[in-house]
Amino acid sequence: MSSGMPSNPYSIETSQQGVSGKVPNYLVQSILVTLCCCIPFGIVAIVYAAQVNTKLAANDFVGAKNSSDQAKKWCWIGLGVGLVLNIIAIVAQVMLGVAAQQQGM
Amino acid sequence: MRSKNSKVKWVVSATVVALGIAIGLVYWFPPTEYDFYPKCILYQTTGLYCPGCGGTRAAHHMMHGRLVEACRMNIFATLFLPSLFLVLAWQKLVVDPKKSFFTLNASPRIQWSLGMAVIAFGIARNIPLPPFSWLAPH
Repeated sequence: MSSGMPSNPYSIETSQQGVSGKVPNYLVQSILVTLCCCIPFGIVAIVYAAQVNTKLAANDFVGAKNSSDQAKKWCWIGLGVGLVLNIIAIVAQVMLGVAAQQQGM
Repeated sequence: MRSKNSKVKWVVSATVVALGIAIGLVYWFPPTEYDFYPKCILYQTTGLYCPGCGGTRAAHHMMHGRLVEACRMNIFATLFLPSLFLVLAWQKLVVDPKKSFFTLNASPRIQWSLGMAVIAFGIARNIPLPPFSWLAPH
C-alpha cells in the first residue's frame, strides 16, 4: 500500500475496482433495523443502502462510499434510539403495572 | 488484531445468548397473553403500523408451525426474513466464505427493489381498504 498518487491511469482503475468490492451496502442491516426497531431511521438507512450498488454500477465510487457511510450511520442511530426507546417503554410499562396493582389492593 | 478478535467473539456470544433468551420467551410466552414485551413506540404514539408490526406475534406462530396465522400478523417478516437468512447462509457457506455474512450479492436493481419493498409494505398496510388492510396484523 503506497500512500502517494498511483503513477499511471491503469492503476487508478484497478485500485477503484479493489474499492468496489469493499463498499458494503448495509441493506440487510437497514432492513433488520427497520423491522426490529420500528422507527423511521431505518427507512433513511434503507434509502441510502439502496443507492450504494446503483452508484457502484455507475462507477461512482466516491458517491457509493458516501451512501454506504450514511447507511451505516443511520443503522447505528436507528439501533441506538430503538434500544433506548424500548428500554424506556419496558420500564414505563413495569411501573404502570406496579401502580395498577397497588391501586387494586 | 487479537484484542479485536476477542471483542468480536464477545459481541457474537452476547448476541447469541440474547437471541436465545428472546427465542425462548417468544416460544413459551404468547405475545398476545403476556404484556412484558416492549410495545412498539410508533404504534403507541401514532397508531400506525410499521413494517415490523406483528413480527413478534408472527414469530410466535411460526415457532409453533402456524404459517397462516403468522402471515396474518406480518406476511413480509414471515416469508421474507427466513428466505433472506437462507440466502445469506448459502452465500456464506457455499458461494464465498470470505465475504461478510450480511452482504447480499445481488444486482443493484434487486437490492433497490428489496429496500423499497420494505418501505412500500410499511405504507400499504396502513391503508384501511381491503387488499391493503389484509397486510395489517389481524
